[in-house]
Amino acid sequence: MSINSTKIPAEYYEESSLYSTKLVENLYKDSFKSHSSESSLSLSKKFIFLSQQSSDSEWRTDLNLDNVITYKNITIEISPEKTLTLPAKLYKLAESIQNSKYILDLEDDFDDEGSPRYDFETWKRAVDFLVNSAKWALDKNNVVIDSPKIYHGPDGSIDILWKNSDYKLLINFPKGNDTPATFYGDDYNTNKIEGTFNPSKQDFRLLHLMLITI
Amino acid sequence: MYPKEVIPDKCSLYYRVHATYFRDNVLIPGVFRELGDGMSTDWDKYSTPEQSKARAKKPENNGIVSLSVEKLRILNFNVIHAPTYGNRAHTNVKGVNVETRLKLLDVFKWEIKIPQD
Repeated sequence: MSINSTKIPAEYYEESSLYSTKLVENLYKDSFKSHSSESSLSLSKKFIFLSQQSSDSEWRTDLNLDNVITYKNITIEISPEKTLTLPAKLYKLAESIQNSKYILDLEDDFDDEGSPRYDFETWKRAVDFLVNSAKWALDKNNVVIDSPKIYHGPDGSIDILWKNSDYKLLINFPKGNDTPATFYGDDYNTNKIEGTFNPSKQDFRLLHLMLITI
Repeated sequence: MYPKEVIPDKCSLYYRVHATYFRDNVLIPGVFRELGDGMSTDWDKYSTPEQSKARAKKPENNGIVSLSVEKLRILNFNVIHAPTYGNRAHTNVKGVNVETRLKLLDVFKWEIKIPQD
């Protein structure tokens, strides 16, 4: 993972110094290992104070700018040959994706019940849908979608889960390209949404619609 | 072979959960899955949580949760007593899908926590 060290507007910012330290230590480990030339981070520096309440273009006045690392885009290494690039606003989504890479390390019979390993393509299909949908919501509606958890599902499938006090939503991407994804969500009350869709059709409005419906 | 019985709503079923389905300090929805004839559980009339755990291939990697039969039926699961030669408690739960997996996360109860490293 790498960071372009470009100063970004104040509206990107949110108070999250602890998160940011974790981001540096965990999310960018890969780029340090690979000695990426774009890795402009210094682990010794404190990092990020962001406030979406900020409406002007000024930096927060209580910051010591020497101790702040800024960034514009986040690049995640998803395989030795492939990367994903996300806008800085989607840094929580980047962390979710990074954390989900454990799925690719699970081996056959990882649960002692005969469950199969997970194909890179299945995981990538789920991640692509998520990233492209999140970018669409940001570009078209200036909305940062809630960041989900990405987990291993049944029979080689991938689950994407949103679960908080307001709503829950689960999308399952089955193994194989021809099988549609299924989803269910509700607000713990009467509002619910469910159905199937074909991720290969790349309708990036769909996730946004799901999240605003429930 | 043991006879098949109708399981009353007031009963519970024990379900083994492998450590790999415990992440971020919570159970993940993928833990609920059908293998063969359904989600394999043990009826509490004929099993204890400890006995259910001991039936695992590697008990040390598993915890046990219980599921209320009444709540399972409310969620439209089909609860079928399916005793085997060595396990009179064995019960299949059918109806696992994306909706019910998500809802099960809100109804299970821990009986034996998953051992932590």
